[in-house]
Amino acid sequence: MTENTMNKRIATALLLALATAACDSIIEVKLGDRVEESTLEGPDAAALLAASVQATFECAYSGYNHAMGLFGDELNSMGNTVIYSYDRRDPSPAGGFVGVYADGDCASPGLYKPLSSARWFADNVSEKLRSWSDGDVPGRMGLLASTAAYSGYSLVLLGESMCSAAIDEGPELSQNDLFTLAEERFDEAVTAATSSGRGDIQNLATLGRARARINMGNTSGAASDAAQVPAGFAYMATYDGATPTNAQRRNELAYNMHLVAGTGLDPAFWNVEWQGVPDPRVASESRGLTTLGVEHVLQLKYPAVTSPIPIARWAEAQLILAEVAGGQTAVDIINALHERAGIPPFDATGVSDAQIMEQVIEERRRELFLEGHRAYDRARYGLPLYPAAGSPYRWGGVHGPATCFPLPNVERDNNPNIP
Amino acid sequence: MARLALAGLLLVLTIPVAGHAQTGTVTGTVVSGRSLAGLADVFVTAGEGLSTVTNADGRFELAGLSGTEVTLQFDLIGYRTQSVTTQVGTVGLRVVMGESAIALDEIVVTGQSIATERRSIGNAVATINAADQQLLTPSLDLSTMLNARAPGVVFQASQGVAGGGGRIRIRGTNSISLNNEPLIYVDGIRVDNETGRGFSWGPTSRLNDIDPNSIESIEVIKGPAAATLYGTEASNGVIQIFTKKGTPGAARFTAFASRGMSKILNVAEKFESTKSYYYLPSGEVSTLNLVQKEEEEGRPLFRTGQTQRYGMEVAGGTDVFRYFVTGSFDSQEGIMEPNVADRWNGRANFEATASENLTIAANAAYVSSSIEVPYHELLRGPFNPSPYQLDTPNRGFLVAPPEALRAAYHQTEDVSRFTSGIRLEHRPTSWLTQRFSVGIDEVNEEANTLVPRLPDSLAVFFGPNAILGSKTVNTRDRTTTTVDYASTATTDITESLSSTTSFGVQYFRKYEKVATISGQQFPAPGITTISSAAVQSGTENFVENITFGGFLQQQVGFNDRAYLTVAFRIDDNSAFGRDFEAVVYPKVSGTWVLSEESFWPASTIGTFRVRGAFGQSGQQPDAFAALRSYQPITGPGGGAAVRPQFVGNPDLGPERGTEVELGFDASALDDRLNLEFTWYDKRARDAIVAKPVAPSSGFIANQFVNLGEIQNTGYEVFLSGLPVETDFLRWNVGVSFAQNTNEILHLGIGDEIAGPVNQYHRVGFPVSAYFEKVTVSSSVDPTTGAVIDLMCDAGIDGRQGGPTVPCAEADRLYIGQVLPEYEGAITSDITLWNRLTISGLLDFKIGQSIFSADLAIQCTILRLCEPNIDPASNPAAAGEMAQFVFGPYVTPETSFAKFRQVAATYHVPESWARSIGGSGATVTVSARNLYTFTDYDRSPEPELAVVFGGNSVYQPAFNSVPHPFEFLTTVRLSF
Repeated sequence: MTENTMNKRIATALLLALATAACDSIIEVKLGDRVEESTLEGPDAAALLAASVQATFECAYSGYNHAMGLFGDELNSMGNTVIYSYDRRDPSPAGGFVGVYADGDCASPGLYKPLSSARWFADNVSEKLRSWSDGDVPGRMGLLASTAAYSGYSLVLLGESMCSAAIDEGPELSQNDLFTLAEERFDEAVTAATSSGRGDIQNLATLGRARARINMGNTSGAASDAAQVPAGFAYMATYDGATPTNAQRRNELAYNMHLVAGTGLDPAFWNVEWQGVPDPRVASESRGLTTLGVEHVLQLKYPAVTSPIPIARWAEAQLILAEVAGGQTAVDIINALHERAGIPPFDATGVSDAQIMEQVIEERRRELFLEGHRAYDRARYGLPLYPAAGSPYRWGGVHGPATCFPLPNVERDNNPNIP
Repeated sequence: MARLALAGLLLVLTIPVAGHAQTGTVTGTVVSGRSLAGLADVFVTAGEGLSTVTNADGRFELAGLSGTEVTLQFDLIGYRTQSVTTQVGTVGLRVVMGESAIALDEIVVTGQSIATERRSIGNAVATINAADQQLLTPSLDLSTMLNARAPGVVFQASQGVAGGGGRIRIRGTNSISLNNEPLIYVDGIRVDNETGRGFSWGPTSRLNDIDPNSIESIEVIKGPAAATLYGTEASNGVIQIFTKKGTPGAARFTAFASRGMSKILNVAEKFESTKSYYYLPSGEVSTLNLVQKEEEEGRPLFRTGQTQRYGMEVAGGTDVFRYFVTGSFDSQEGIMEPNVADRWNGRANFEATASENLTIAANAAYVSSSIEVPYHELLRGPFNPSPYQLDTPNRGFLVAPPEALRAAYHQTEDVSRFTSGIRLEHRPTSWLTQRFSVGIDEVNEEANTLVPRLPDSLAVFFGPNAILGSKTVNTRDRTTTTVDYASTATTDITESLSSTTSFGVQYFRKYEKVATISGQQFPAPGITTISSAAVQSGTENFVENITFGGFLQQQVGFNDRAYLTVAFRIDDNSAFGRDFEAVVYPKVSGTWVLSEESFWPASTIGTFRVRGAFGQSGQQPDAFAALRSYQPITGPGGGAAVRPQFVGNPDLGPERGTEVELGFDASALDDRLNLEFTWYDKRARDAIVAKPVAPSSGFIANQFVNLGEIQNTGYEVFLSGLPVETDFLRWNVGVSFAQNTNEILHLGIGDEIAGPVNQYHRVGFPVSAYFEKVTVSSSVDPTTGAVIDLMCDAGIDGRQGGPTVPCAEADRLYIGQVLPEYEGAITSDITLWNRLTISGLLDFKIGQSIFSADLAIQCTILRLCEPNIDPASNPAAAGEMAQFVFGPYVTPETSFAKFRQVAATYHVPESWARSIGGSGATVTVSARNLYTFTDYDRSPEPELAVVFGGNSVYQPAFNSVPHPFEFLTTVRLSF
């Protein structure tokens, strides 16, 4: 009896000792490939965070261009099942096989999640940069200009692709709400870039603001911004990952067409010419391969996974000016672009204003080929769906009527501010 | 003593006297009535204090007898006591002992603080006599050995690939987001329990690293009620494997050799089920069975695989030192070239009695294996024949013909694994026992995917880039460390009241390091190193998890008949962050052997025991899930960068499994009929759900949240008997049957979480069940030929059977569940003339469905199924395909019964064995996968899936190798 009692006492004491003292240190483990948030909280992390915002945006942007190329009329699936829902224009908010756009992976290609992540990260880092002082962070305003501009572009792209979206688990926002927020971010970016002498970011943000403004119907505001963009300006998303398979740092348009044969160019963009002269802005080439009887034609604009993709450039600004001004101004701009491309001029003799506008749209199709504009242009200009809704889809089913992506259920179900 | 009181009928079975030895001596062999293998440690008494025990071969020699005739009594736990009267001087007496149906005095280790008699345990423990089973029905790997041998333990075979994997589910799916695999122990040491590793579509199994020939027995405890002492991570049950030990005596050598083959019978006919329907240019409908076509043209897609296995073991020792050492080699060729699995196994178990009260055991095992897995696209031809490519170089193969795929893709996995443990058992006083185990299991895995630089002629199939070659090497090093101390004190409080008090402390650490290196573009054919590739890359990462905790248990026994056990375990785990307090898991169990009470009437029910248990255990995510963190990525210009990944959850705690288990064990007809019944109700509370986060929050990955509750309830019945027992015929039969109902009681975040493809976690339904719109009818537009008028089942509370509505208005309805609702097996062993045993196994699984990715691709994407071509043949299926949804047609029920195995084992007479220099020999001829009974007719077989391990609930039928018919001849020779 006594022995037993004693044994119990020892046992209880040992257990208690174990429960209190030992637990915390003995179960301490290392983190592997995860970076704890606390390590990113000080101003020392500013440069890393700004570079990270750029990387997060560029990853999203590469996938966005692939996704929107499919959703619009530029690209087709060559049998890659994952991208059918883009190509067939029947995205489902439920996610899964027909809702890849809600995926987190830039390369899937996801759309809503990577852009939302880029937007949140840019805003989060902007906030940190605002809270630090110039003494803490060398070049702080320049970094802030860049994070604010990336936030603005994330919002513009969300507005151009999503039917509605949310930020920071807030209420559902319309496309116009998103463009308005984008304009605010660009305002901050322009101010910060001007004060820090970052001309490139200033032009990037100014043209971004022009894009947001024209989307909202603020044509005069758009034109005044576009007019400030100097000739030859281009701001690129860079893709320089160490390997072609690094999905965070590669040009998805090159990867999915040149490296794997999952995506092909739509026939509407094969051998595009102007008055018998091939238009170098829409260069294409047949691969000499067919998949289930479908010829595989490649774009030549982005030949390598390291090819940069323009985010904003002078030609876009010019075409905004052309769109707003119309008439002879538009014709002059078109011809300046033709001259640059080395193709014969657009003969505007006896051409109506409406026909000039049609040519502006055609110029945007060619000049901004695979730069993430075409799908939203079709919606903005009210162009008919191509191929028509209800027509059979090559890989099964019929083409859907979608012109934008519905707010995915993953947002609706997990955001407390959306009923 | 109770054990003798329990003994039933004494049945005499002797083999006629073979000769006479010196006066006063009887020698002989005691064998098991089922396997006819020698029984060690049988207590042989002749009265008047004369006794002996049998050695490892079952041999005994009893000297000092007087008179001319003697009656010997044979006792062994788990067997019915035998009495044999024989002449003094008999040599080579052969005594056959029948198994007793209920072995209440059998020792159980798993789930206990110390080796304990079954009679005192309040929960069910399934024991598999692996050594006997391996003798009668030899298995080449452990997963085959476990299949259908314990009710409630579902082994889900993957595919018929040599070296392929599978997974184990005990009492249903417990967790939505965490691991559902049971813990695996080998001789008290926790080992890697990942059952599905390797290649994305060709998982291999770590379970099969364990050599089935080295196993003595396996114990399975099935849930939190039994596994409380294992604490965190034990919610899915525990499987403990005991390897063989040496017994005192001269060295005994056993050599074994097996040869066999595997083959799919009537293969072309079986693949009629997957043929493609298509239009000829003339407009006529035709079909394509590529397996048949290739076979007719002299290029069969499947081959006959050869199997071989050789090994040797030696066991023996003295009273103070015992040893068991074994080594084996086996090689299995799969039916799909180039599949082959080679494996070398070695094990050495030593046990020393260092002093009267200290025993030290040291075990070490090493396995080296090399598997070549067939590239999954090789199965595309059989499952998705592509008729529109018949006149192209593809020859009707969607991606490429088999010879091109074999030239291009080489997938190999090399494993070396070392498992070792040291165990000390110390009895400082008569009432105190301490044990201390420390062990390590180290798995080094290397999976290689190689595409050599290919000739330009193959560019037509793989593209100009792929033919330049590529190679990926994935290495995974996983170390599982166990440190386990327990101490048990037993005292008799009064004459009738006994007390057992235990406490223990355990530490478990898992450390997994993964690295990937890859290269693209080799400069020339024949060069295949990553160093020589034009583009190279690499990654490296690790995951570490530590559990630390202890338990305290008090058991009280009354008259060795009734027991009450109360225990609790306290645990902390690294996944929950620094602020987390340790968690406490309680346990209460009781049992009462009613039939030993004086009030129990003398009836045909000789043994009756009731038992009940309540207990808790846990489960946790591996990684540091509580913490908000970022993922390192490559930044601009190749610099460093991060991106938001895990939003974290500082409030995260373990998933808590709570189980109530009630049951009884009964035997009748003098222990010849046995019934075990167990009912359970298991809840996973605070179920950890990987909750998606709103993308607008900025974070990509799901967040682990304690939200849900999952219930598994069901019953398990095991009925065994010995209906016939005569001199020349002995028939053992066993029937097991288990039912399981799995239901999500609540999720905490709405009513549904999406899983893979058409699987959803929905409240009121099983975990990860299949849901889709259920089309009931459609019609064909006579002018366009389009499928129109799509009508669907509106459903009633999410189930089928509601009114018909246009499909646009219909919701997803329940189609089926992943795991079977009913499963079980019938085993039968017939022993003739005490020389020949014929064993058979039939097992069944009822109520499970499968998402067939093969059918989904065939019908919904390629549109080559009969309803695509002739919608009128199946308007519901045609409607499903027109909507591009994966509904019931591609998610069929796959209930089946399989005549799994039949084997005949012949025990060669000893005189024959002696003539070839041995002391005993057996010859076994066995066949597996003989016949399948099923209604499922859209695939060559119902049990075909890619089964992943861990927490995966996804198990599509996709490009899988069918399970072949296998034939094996095994010879074992002892000397």
